[in-house]
This record gives sequence, C-alpha cells and structure tokens, in this order.
Amino acid sequence: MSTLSLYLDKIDSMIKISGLTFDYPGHRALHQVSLEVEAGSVTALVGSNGAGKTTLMRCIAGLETPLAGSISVAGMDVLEQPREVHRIMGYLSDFYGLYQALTVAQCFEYAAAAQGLPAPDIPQAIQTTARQLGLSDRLQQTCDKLSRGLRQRVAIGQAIIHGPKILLLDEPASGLDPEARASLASLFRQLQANGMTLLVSSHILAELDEYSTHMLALREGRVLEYRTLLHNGSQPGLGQSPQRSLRLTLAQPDPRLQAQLAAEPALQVSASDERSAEFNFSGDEHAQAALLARLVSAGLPVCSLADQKENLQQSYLRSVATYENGQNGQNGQTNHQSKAGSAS
Amino acid sequence: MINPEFKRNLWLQFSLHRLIAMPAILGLIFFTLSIAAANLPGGLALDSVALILFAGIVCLWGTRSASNAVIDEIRDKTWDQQRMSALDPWTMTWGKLFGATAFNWYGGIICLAAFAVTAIAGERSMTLSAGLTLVALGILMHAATIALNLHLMRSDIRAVQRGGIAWAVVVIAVLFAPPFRSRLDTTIQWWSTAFSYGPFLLGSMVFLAALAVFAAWRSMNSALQISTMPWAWPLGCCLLAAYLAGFADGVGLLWIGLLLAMAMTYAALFTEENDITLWQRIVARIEAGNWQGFLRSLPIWPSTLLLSCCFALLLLVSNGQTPPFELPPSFAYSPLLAVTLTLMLLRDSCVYLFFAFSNKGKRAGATTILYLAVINGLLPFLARVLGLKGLAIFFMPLHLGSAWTMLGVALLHAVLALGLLNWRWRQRVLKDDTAA
Repeated sequence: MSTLSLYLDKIDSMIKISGLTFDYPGHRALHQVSLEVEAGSVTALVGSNGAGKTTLMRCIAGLETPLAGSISVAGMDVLEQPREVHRIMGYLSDFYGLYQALTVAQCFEYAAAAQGLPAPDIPQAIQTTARQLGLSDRLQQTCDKLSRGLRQRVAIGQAIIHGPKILLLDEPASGLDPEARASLASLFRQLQANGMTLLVSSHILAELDEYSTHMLALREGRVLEYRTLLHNGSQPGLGQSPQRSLRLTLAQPDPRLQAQLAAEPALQVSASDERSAEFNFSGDEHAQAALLARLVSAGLPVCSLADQKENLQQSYLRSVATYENGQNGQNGQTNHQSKAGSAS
Repeated sequence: MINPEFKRNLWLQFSLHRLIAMPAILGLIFFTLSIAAANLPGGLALDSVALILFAGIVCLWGTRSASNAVIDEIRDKTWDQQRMSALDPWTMTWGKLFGATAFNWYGGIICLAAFAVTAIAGERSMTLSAGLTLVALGILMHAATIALNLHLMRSDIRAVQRGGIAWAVVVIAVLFAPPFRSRLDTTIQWWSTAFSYGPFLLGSMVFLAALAVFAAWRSMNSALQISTMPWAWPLGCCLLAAYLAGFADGVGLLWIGLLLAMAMTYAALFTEENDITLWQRIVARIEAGNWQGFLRSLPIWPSTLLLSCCFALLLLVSNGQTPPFELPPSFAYSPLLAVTLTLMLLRDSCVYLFFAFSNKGKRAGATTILYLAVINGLLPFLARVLGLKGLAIFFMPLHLGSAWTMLGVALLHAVLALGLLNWRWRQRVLKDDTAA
C-alpha cells in the first residue's frame, strides 16, 4: 500500500475549500466559498441554475483557475498539483463526450491507463466496471451504437474505472430511464460503502435523496447551507440520540396540546396548533412509545404520531427561504438605515 | 506501458482496411507511373513523384490530422476528460503529435522508401539528407499546428474551431519555402561559417521542428492547467533572432531581436486570453505578495514586451547597430528609434487591454486594429491633406525628423494609453466589487 493510500485512509476531510472566489467577465460566480467535505460522504450539490454548482465542481477538478482562495483534495493543492489530484479523482462533466469510434472496452482501457492504473490491473478493472454498470455484454460495441442511457453509463464507467477516492458528478442521471436511475443510486451507495467520497449535482432532488448523506446548497455563488442529512439508513454520531422529525395529530382540537408538548424535554416544537404539532424528537423507538403513552394518559385524543421525514427538496427549499428572509431582513434594515440616514 | 494517448490514436487511425489500402494504392500509383515512364520520351522522375506524394500525405493531410487531434476533442466534448487525466504534458504532446498523424506517417514512410530506392537507382546524391529534411518538415508542420490550436483553443476565432489553423500552417510553409530553396551545390554563409546547402537545410529544419515541438509541449502545459514560468516564449524569440541574424553574420542582431520580439508580442497579445478576470487574478497574486503565482499567471506577451524593452535599451547603449532595413531618405536614423518603437508597442498593448476589459471584450482584437489604423494612418493622412503637418506628428510619431520629438510623442501616446487603461480598470473592477 502506498504512502498516499495510507494517508488517504486516515484523513477526515477529503475536500477543503477556503475563500474560493471565481469571476466570469462582469459576473462573480463564487463568493468566498469555504467548506470541508467529509471523507466517505455523498454530498448533494443543489441550487438553481446559475448558482455556481458547475463552476465549483470545475474548480475542485482543477479545470478552472479561481480569482482567489485555495482548494485542497486529500491534502494536495489542486492548483499546484493538478495531475496528482486527477489520479485520485473522477469527474463526469454535465456535457461529456465519448470517443464514438472506440468500443466500450477501448474507452475503459484508455480511461484506466490515462489515469495511471498499472497495465496488469486494467483488464480486471474493465470487467469490474462493466459489471457494476451493467455493460458486460456491450464491451465490444462502439459508442456511436449506444443509446443515451448506455452512453451515460460508459461515461460514468470512465470516471470510476481507476477507483478514485473522490468522484465529482455533474447531473449524472440526466437521460437515464427510471430503472437505470435506480441502479445508479445503488452503484453510488456501493461506491460510498467502499470508501469513496462523492459530490453529486442534480436538479432531480428526489433522486439525490436516495443516497446523499450531506447537502450543500448554493445560491448566487454563496453557500446557503452545508449539513448532514438524517434519514433512513443514516446513523447518528457516537453518543448521540437519533433526531427525527415527528408529526402528532389529534382526533379533535385540544387547547392543552402545546403546554403538554412544552413540558417534554426531548423534543423541540417547530410548528403547532390545537389540532396538530410538528417537532424534532431526540430519542429511540422506546422513548417515542413512552412519549405517546404520556400524551394519551394526559387525556389528549391522539390519533397519530408518525415520522415526518424531511426530504432533500424540503431541506433545500427551507434553506432558500431562510436565505431570502435574511436578505429581505438585511434589505429592510439597509432601507431603514438609509432612510434614517437621509432623515438625519 | 505504451503511451495511452498514442495507443488511443492508433485505435482511431488504423483499421485492417486502412492498413492494407495505403500500401496497395501507393504501390498501384508507383507501378502505373513506372510503366508510364517507360513510354514517355523524357521518362518520369519517380523519386520526385515520391516526394510529391510524401508532401501530400504527410505535410498536407498530416497537418490536417494533427489539427484534428485537438479540434476533435473540443468538438466531441472529450477535452475535459483529457484535461482530467493523469498524463503529463509531454506524454500527451507526443501521443497526439505522432498518434494523430500515425496513418500519414505510415504512407509517408512508404513514399520515402520509394524515394530512396528510385534515387539510389538513379544515382542521385543527398538521398538521406533530403529524406530526413522532409521528415523534419512534417514534424515541424504537425507540431506547429498542435501548438497553435492549443494556444488559440480558448479564442472565439471560428477558423480555429473549423480546423483553419492546419491550412494557415500550410500557407505559411509555402510562403516561407522560397528562401530555403537553392541549388544543391550552393554554399550557405551562416555566422561567418560556410555550410553545404543540404546539411544546412536539414539542420535548419531540425532546429525549427524542435522549436515547434517545444512550443506544442509548452502550450499543452497551459491547456492542462499546469502553470509555468514565462521563460520559453522569450527564449524562443532569442533563438530565432540568433538563427536569422546568422545569415548576416550577426550584423543587426539586436535589431532583429527587437523586431522579432515586437512581432511575437503582437501575435501573442491578439491571440491570448486577456479578459479582465485573468488580470484580476494576476493583481490578486501581486497584492498577496505571491510573486511566483504572479509570474505563473501571466500570459506570454508581457515577456516579449519586456524583451523588446531590453533590446531597445541595448541598442541605445551600444549606439552602433543600424536597422536591417532601408529607412526613408528623409529619415535621420537615431538609436532612439528603438525606444520609440517599444513605447508604441506598449501603447498598442494598453489599447488592446482597454478594449479587452470592456463588456464586449471578445471583439477586442478587431476593435484595436481598427482604432490603431485610424490613429496611425487615417488621422495623420487627414491632417496632412488639410495642411496641418503640426497636428499630423501627434498621431504618427515615426514620420518625424527629430528623434527626440519622435520619442516625446511616443511617450505621450504611451502615457495616455496607460491612463485610459487605468480608467477602464477602475471602472470595471468597481463594477465587479459592486456585483460581489
């Protein structure tokens, strides 16, 4: 095992970005972006068109030079050592291309060799990648004969054939049918299980929701939010109770509901009225059962208490709403200040 | 392990059909011509036919293939994949240079073999040197095409996107060929040493081919986002100046250097990426005290602009060298002419950047040429037509009799251009900060 491999197995942050600013002529695409992407995570990169997702990915991939800031991948400076970073990185561009006249096997062989995979390992890598992507029976077919979905799979195969430690995917599922999308999600989960760090951009948030562990929301070149997503299959940190969003509904309105919930230490109410309430609950299933028993014994006509899972779409929209409220607040404050200034 | 880029190109270039077709067709041509030659009264020089076929297959078709080595990657959207590979620039350069043209070389070698056989059979001299010269010429044209395409790939010049560079290289080769043509028994005087024509031509071609391969490698570095110190472009300028000055036994070396450096500055200035974001990056590195980053971020044209200044100062100090061209009889030569020319180069660079920093920076080249033509040509002409000679001198300093006035006007032009550039910079940077 190489020194680099040993180092890569130990690091906590696969990507460290500090003060990243990127300009296009007359337009700032990224504003002082700083973040750390955990090793082994799957980060959903979300944001509207023009938010800076593709620019951020291209900067991380070393394909664009920023105005200011630094990016390190696995401890290596992308601007100083782009070739070394590319050895441990796979990147699928939004507008990728394939060598039409080459067979799938030749495309894979070229990608593997160009990424520095030792020659004896290449035939096995081709077979493994083809099997992972369901392309084993297409290896001798030229790319110009493939459907759009199959071409997308070949492009993903080229990006992962060298077993990168980090994989950047810009809209990887566009053009794939529902079945292929499901198998892609399964592949990403498998890659993550093997220790790969993934950064995936997509407009289809429901699809990202299936395999993402983190969400990075961008808006107008700024980071709105970068946080861990807790949902099915997610494990809480050591010593932490799982936090879940629950929804309680009563058979009829009861004015005691809010006071009863306020008395519970393990929950934080996010919204409530006399008929229903939504809250974050820190506790396991036993604690949830005990909570339900207390509410029923207090005489509340509970008809349901269920998980209220916040999906990626809701998380993103909440981030956007918080950002816009903040912006409006700032604007209001600025307007108020300027009015006050002009008045004085 | 074989170079993956070279191997990929071999896959694309060769098929069983092409492998058989090339020798079969060439063999048929030579066979037909050899029969025809027997029936022609004066015969037919088959060795010349082989050379013509070599020129067609390697120099014309091969240059087109070399151009496609870069253009196809951009057109088929595979260029990002190549830039993301772990291949170093040299591996990528020679993989493309000899891989994309491999099929042409396959045909070219067959032609060279036919040339060698017919030339030896005809007891002609310089067979080996002629063959090697042609090989060097082929490499020169292919490497120059790849270097130019890599250099211009970020530009919006449609001729580049359509593969026009290949034809530009062919035209340049044809235009520059006459000075290299001579009788076989000619002796070339170079740096006070006599050389036989054949070996000198071979040496020249090898030197130029090496420069072109070097340029392709440096351009590949830049295309693969590997930043480098800007020493190669001025070094190439000095080497070319030394080569050209050798024909005059070194007389006028500094003037040749100055004019070459100026020409290379203009060529790079009008073809490189020069938008405001690049210069903001450069200024950001200066402000951060990152001098290495500053030098690595610089485009190549400032390096030959600086070299022009060095040559101008050396001419001023040496005070002995006259220009290697005829000056008008009314024009009194002064070493200040070199400084004046350099100041005009600085002015033109500032004018170009002034337009490149505007909102419509993509048209900077054409706009600069238009305005420089107006300033240097139309306005002085109009002033003279109107009988305002005093005004004309303020537009075109080179028409003056007095060297110091000439220098003063050029300096005034440069200061005005720098002021304009500074104004545009402040205007645009403020806009960007507001956007931020």
